[in-house]
Amino acid sequence: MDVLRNLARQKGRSLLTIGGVFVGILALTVLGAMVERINAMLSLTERFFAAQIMVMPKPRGEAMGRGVFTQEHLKKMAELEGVRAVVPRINIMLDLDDGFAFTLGLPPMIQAVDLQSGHNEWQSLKVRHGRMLTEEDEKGTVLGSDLAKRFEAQVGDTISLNGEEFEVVGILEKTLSGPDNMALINIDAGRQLMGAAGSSLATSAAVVWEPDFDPEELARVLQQQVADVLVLSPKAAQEILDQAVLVINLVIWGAAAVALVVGGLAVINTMMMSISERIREIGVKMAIGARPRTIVKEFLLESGTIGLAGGVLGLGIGSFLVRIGNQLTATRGLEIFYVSPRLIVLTLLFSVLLGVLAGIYPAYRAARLDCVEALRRE
Amino acid sequence: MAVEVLLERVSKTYNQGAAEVKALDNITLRFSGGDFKAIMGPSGSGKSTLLNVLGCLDKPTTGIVRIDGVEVQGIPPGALWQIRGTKIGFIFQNHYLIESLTALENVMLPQRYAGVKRSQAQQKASELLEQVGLGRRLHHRPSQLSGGEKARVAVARALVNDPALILADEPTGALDSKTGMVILELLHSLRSPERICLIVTHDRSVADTCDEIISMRDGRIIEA
Repeated sequence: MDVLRNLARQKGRSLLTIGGVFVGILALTVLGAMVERINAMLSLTERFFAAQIMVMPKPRGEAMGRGVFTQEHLKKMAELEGVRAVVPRINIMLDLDDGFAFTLGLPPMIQAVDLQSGHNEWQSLKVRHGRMLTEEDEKGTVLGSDLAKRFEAQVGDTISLNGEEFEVVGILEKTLSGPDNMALINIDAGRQLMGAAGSSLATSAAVVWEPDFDPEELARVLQQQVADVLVLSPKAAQEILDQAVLVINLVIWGAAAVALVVGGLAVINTMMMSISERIREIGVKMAIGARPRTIVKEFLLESGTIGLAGGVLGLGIGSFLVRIGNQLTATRGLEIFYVSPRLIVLTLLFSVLLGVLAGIYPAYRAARLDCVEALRRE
Repeated sequence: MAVEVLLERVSKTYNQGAAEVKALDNITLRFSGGDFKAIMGPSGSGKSTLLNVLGCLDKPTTGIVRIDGVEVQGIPPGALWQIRGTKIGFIFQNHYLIESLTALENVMLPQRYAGVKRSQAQQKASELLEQVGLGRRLHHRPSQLSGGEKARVAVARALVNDPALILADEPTGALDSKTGMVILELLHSLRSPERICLIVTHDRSVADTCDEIISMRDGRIIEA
């Protein structure tokens, strides 16, 4: 109560300071939600790459062109020691009528997978409605949650993927990653979409290793033994992801840090002003038995309260803006923010910590005041 | 053991630029329980410095200060709060109440600093405010109180921890003569063999109500 009353003495100034912290925490919430969204996306991607060696045909040189695997490639890969399964895949850009849209992560895609190969990483994803695709679903598809929303599709509906009709047999739980914007179909249906029905066409392959086999070693062997392919081992994929995460985190947290420094300086300024106005009061408190620690605590409580108030406001309004942002973009299958429980807790803790840290110097100055001098102050 | 306050060959020197100013010059004084004394002297005579040294707000440059058996010199400046909070009660000229707190909260403050539970502190503060005639003004802020009422709150605050030494710096200085007399009577009513009360004043009529007048000039006691 005393803390609130002290802050209420200079309402305008306290509100402006809380406003300074609010702006910092708002920036932290919005940018943090973006980081959390990217991290959520990358964590699934990490899992995806950790379970397979990604093999792609070398580009053939034509504009934007990618090579394709021949049956020979796939056969050679499957024959190598340590290979448990080779899963041919075709990734096709989804042709949507609503034009080009910015996406976070992968653009909307159709992924055609050989479900007979005995390995399907889609199996690890949770199906919210319907069921997972099976090899019997020649013209069936399982949609990611964002794509289903974009198509306004439900299980049993028939939708058009790049001009071909497919029945929706399942809709996935939201993963906050690539699969949210994907449609899974059988590889033969994919080949048909590519105009290569009956061929062994594949644009990439996942190589799964035998238990107790070193995937890095297998990746090296694959690169050496199979001509004209690019091999991405789990470790190499992890390094690429780590680098991406580091750069993204540095940029976003850096921006948030600048906003927070501004908020912190506002708190320091306010607390210094508050102390200079209350010097005699501090002297009186010391004269009647307040210990230096009590004075420090009093000012830290005030600065911490400013931090908390700015934090609650920043987090509340930031979460609201993020929600609106997600709603506005959700119809296009794009949600770029994720306010995770971790972000909420950390942001609130951080806002209090910011207030307390910014209050340390002013509080220390207050506690070090000379009692006699302080009492003389008008 | 009876309450006793002792100053032995106490000097206090301040540096003002290159010059050295001796605010207290070799003062020796002894007070014991029941004393009710006035300290008088012109401005700059050292009255306030003496009060600050006695109140452990300031340390002497040389000499010994002993308050109720506790030798002040040995206590580090950061730990003087304890003796200030438990053994000394201050009454300031302009009352110096905390504006953001009510009368009750102002009186509770020394108890809270001494680690007394809120409920106990509240009860004691209420009783004291009743005693000084402010039972119906407990929840008023200083800005809502008259000068005399503020002075009474200040007296109650000084007494709340049952200090051995009450130091009053011009307690009637900011009051009209009638209210001043009421406060003076209040102070007299608090006389106790367990308590020493020292009043710094410019007002001869106030000093005359005390048992003894200590006169100061140029940092020295000229009459006691």
